[in-house]
Amino acid sequence: MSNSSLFLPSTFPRAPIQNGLGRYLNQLQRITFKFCKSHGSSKGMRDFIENDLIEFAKANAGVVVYVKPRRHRAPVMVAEYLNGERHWMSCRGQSNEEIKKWVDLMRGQNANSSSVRLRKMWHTDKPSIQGPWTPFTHKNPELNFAVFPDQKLSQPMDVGQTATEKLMEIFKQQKISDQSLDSKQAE
Amino acid sequence: MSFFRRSSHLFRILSGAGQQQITAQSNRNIARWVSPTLKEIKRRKDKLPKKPVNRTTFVEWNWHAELFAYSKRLTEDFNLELLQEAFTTRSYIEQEERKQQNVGINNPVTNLKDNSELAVIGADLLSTHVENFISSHLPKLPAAGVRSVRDYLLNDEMLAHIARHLGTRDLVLASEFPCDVPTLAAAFKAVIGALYKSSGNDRTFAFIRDFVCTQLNQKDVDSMWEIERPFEMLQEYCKNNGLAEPEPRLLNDAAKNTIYATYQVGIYTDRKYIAAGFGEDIDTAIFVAALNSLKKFYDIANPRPYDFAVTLKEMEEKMEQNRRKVET
Repeated sequence: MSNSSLFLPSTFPRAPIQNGLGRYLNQLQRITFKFCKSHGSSKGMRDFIENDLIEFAKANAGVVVYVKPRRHRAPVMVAEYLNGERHWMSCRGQSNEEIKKWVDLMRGQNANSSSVRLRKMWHTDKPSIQGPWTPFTHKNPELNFAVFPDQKLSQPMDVGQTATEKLMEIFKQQKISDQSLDSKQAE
Repeated sequence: MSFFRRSSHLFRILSGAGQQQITAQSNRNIARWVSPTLKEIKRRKDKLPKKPVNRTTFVEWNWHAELFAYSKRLTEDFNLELLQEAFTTRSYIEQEERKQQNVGINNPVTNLKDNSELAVIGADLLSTHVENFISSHLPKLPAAGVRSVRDYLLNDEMLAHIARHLGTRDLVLASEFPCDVPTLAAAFKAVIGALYKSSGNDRTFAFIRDFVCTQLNQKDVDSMWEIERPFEMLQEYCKNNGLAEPEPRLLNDAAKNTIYATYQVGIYTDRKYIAAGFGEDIDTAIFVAALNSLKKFYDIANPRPYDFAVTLKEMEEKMEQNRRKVET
C-alpha cells in the first residue's frame, strides 16, 4: 500500500445483487465518447471510433454507446455503471491501443475500481464455521459429577516440579543405579 | 459590483477627476472579505448532498437504444413496446395530459399505456414462483415460514433494490424524480409481466430465480421469520408429530449473580437430546433452545445451498416428490 492510497475509501470485494450466482450481468450500462473532429489530442479517439467501436458495440449489446463530437475540447470517456456510479476519464493524447485497453477495463469493472482500496482480496459473511467459543466448549465431562470443593480440581493446572522434588528424584535414581552396580559386582 | 472599493472613486473626486490622471493604483480593487467568503460558500456548497441528475434530459440519450440494451443486458428477448409500457407509470401519463390541457387542448391524447396491468401479472408470477422455489428447497418449513421468507423477498424495498441494479432507475417514466421505491418496485413487477408476455413462463421463472431468489443466498431463514413463542410452537410440533412433551434441562451455567451470567439449556424429548441454547437467564436460554430445536426440526439450521440453476420443470418434479414423501 503506497502513501497515496492512505486516504482512499476502503472496501471488500463484493458482487452487487449476488451477480453471477444466477446469470452474469455486465455492470457497465453506458459509455460516452466525447472528442473533437479536428484537434490532434483526439487522434487516438477518432481512430478508435473509426476502427474498433462498431466491434465493441456488437460484442456488448447490453452497453449503450454514445459518441459526442464537440469542438476544440480534449477527448473524454465517461462510463456509467449499474450501481449509478459515473467514471470520467480524460483520454487526451492517448493512442487507439491505449483507449482500447481502458475501454476493456471499464467493461470489466463494476465501479471505478481505482477510486477504492481493497482491504483484502476476499470476503466472507461467516468467518467462523464452528461458532464462537463459550465457557462450555471442550469442557471435560467428568466435571459433571465433581463435588466441590474438590482437592484435585482446586489445584492450579500448571504447577511445575520444585527444586526439592527434583533433587529427591535424582537421589532416588542414583540409589537405583548404585543398587544395580552392587548386584552386578556380587555376581 | 458592490464589492469593489469605493476609496479609489473618492480619491478621484478629491483630486479633481479629469484634471489629473492616476497612473499608479495605490490599493487593490477587491475587498479583503470577498475571497474568504466565496471560499466558505463553495466549501458549504460542496458539503451539501449532490442532487441526482436526470439522465434522460442529456443530449446523449436515445430511448430505443436504452430499451434495446436493457433487454440484451438481461439476456432476454423483450418485446420493446411491452417493455416501454412496463416503464410508463400512471402519474407520468397524468402529468403529460395536464401539460396538454395547460396549453389549451381539451381532449389530451398521449397514446401511452401505463404499467398497472403488467404489474398485476408480474406480482402474481413473482408470488407463485418465489413461494414454489422456497417450499421446494426448504420442504420442512411450515406455511407461515414460507410466507415470511416470500414477504422478505417481495417487499418494495427489496424489489426496488434489485430493479435499481438492473438499470431500471433511469428508464422509469414517472412524474417525480428521482422515482420512489413503490414506483420502482411496480416497474420491476411490470417488467416481469412484460417478459411473461414476450417469452413465456419458463423464461419468466428463470428471470425470477436469477434475480430475486438469489437474494436468499447466505441469509438465515430465522432472520426473515420471527417466531414469537418458540416453546409453545415446539410443544405443538411434538404433539402433532407423535413425539413426547419437550423438556428443557439446565446443562451448564457460569458466573451466576453477575452481569456476565450465562446459562445453557438443552431440550429433550423422551430423554433424547434435540438442541441447546444460551441465555443470560434461564427463560432466555429456554427461548433460544426451543428456537434451535425448531430450526433443527424444520431443517433450516444448516440448510443445503440453494440450487440456482433449477428449471421450472425440475422444481415442479421436486415438489411432487416432497408431497409424496409427506403422504407416505
